Amino acid sequence: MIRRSMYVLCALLLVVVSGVASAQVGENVANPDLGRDGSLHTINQFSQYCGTRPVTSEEAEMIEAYTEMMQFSRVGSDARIATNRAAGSVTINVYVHVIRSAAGGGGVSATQISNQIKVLNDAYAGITGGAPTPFKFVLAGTDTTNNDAWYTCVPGSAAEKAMKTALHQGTAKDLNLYSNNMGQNLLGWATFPSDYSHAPAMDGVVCLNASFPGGNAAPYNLGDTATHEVGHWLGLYHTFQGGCNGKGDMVSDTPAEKSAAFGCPVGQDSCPRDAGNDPIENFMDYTDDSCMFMFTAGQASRADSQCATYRGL
Amino acid sequence: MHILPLLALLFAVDTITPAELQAKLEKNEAVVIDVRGSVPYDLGHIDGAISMPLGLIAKRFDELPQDKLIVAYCSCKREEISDEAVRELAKKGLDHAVALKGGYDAWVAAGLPVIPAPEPPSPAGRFRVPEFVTCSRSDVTAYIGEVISYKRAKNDKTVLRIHTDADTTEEITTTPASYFVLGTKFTTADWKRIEVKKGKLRPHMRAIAWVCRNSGATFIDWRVGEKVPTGD
Repeated sequence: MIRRSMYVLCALLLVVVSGVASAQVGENVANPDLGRDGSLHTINQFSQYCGTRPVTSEEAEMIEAYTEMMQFSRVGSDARIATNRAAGSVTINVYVHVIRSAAGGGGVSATQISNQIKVLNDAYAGITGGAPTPFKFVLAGTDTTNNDAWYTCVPGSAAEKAMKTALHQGTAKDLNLYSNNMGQNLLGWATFPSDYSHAPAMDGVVCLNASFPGGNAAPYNLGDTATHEVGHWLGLYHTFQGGCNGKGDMVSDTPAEKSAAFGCPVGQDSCPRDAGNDPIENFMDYTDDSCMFMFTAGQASRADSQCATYRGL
Repeated sequence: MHILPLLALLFAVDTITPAELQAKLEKNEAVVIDVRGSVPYDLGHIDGAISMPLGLIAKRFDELPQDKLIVAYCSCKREEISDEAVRELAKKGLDHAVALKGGYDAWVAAGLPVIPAPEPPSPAGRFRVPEFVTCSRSDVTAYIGEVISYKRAKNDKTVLRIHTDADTTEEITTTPASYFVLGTKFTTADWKRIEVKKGKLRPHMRAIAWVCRNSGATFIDWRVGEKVPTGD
């Protein structure tokens, strides 16, 4: 009962804090640095008032709501789906960690890595379609490790922890991209920006080696597993989050989708009561690489605000 | 009538407050032992604490240093278990042990450093359609998440409810003929991997239900050992 009351109190404080933040909209848009500092400061105040730690699912939901409100208040209803910062204005250093088997098999080549960076840049610049985002990616370093356990590690495993603990580089602003042969029909996985504070070494993206451009994981070998996973790393959810109901992916311009789509089911509409067909062309769905080619403006805006808030980018 | 408090006073052990303990830890003058079981320890413990459940102290007391204060803690209101641990240590000749006043709850309430339960990885992956799914990829969807209801009839027809990582709940009717485990065909030996006993699923079991939208054909890939739950 006490706990429940605390959350109600937190929610009320959230609304008040959001109102204060709304009053600073002009400054936030004009000066992104001020905006980012303001966001972080407000979150810290919020945590102190509530006396809770940002690790419970309830609080995570409130943080999501807070980010959503900040996003809304910052740019206004009509411009809500506009990107806050200019396309390509935020550079992200990428550290690629190639994990091979103990015998040295299963690596990715320098050319594949270079092409992967290009795939990311094209996708996030909107060159393939959709909205541009503020992000551009620069290869900052590559290392190669031969280790059977890491080569086949899966999410949540001891091997994943050992791998990341040993190899992770940089800060919350830097992208650590691991390639391995995870198996189990997984193509990749990622951490969210809000995960960083409680597990910084685990931050990053892991992609199936064969999903890099030119790999043999067709139809998932054009490099868009990394595009998808980096989307999570930047704060985006799957387009089918929440199904036809609920909060969905926290983005207003991605049509609702009942569940994941695969292949390329053009014209599919799994939520007929909601506007729009399923967003099968969106990088945050599960369709084939050749089918997905875009982020929406709302996703660009959300990724911008998530990274500003949680990564200091 | 007043004998119990008197007895308690007689057998009371020394205590240390969380703040005092923190000061000693900063000076490297104390070693902390968590005398609860391994499960509560894994769910969160004082940073640096050694897991030494009460029942194992007699066997493991010689792991503890002679030159530092030994501080035992439990998750109990009046330090009952940590008091017992201190007495057990005293029997073994370690008379430099005390109990943490207020136990783990007091330590947490004071905002002092703990090692929380390992954070589960976020449900932020991407899957490929497995080869065992027989329909066209464009006809496929998948429900990925924790099985929250499992009803296996005598004829093995089974109804599953999956709370998906996408925060939806889906009901699937299936039979073991369409089962797989981590992408490989299900065998008789796999029953023990998914069920505690016949008809009773192991707790927190995860699965991917691959569904062909048009035909309704369903393939269940049991994610034995997978640790991907709530995310953020």
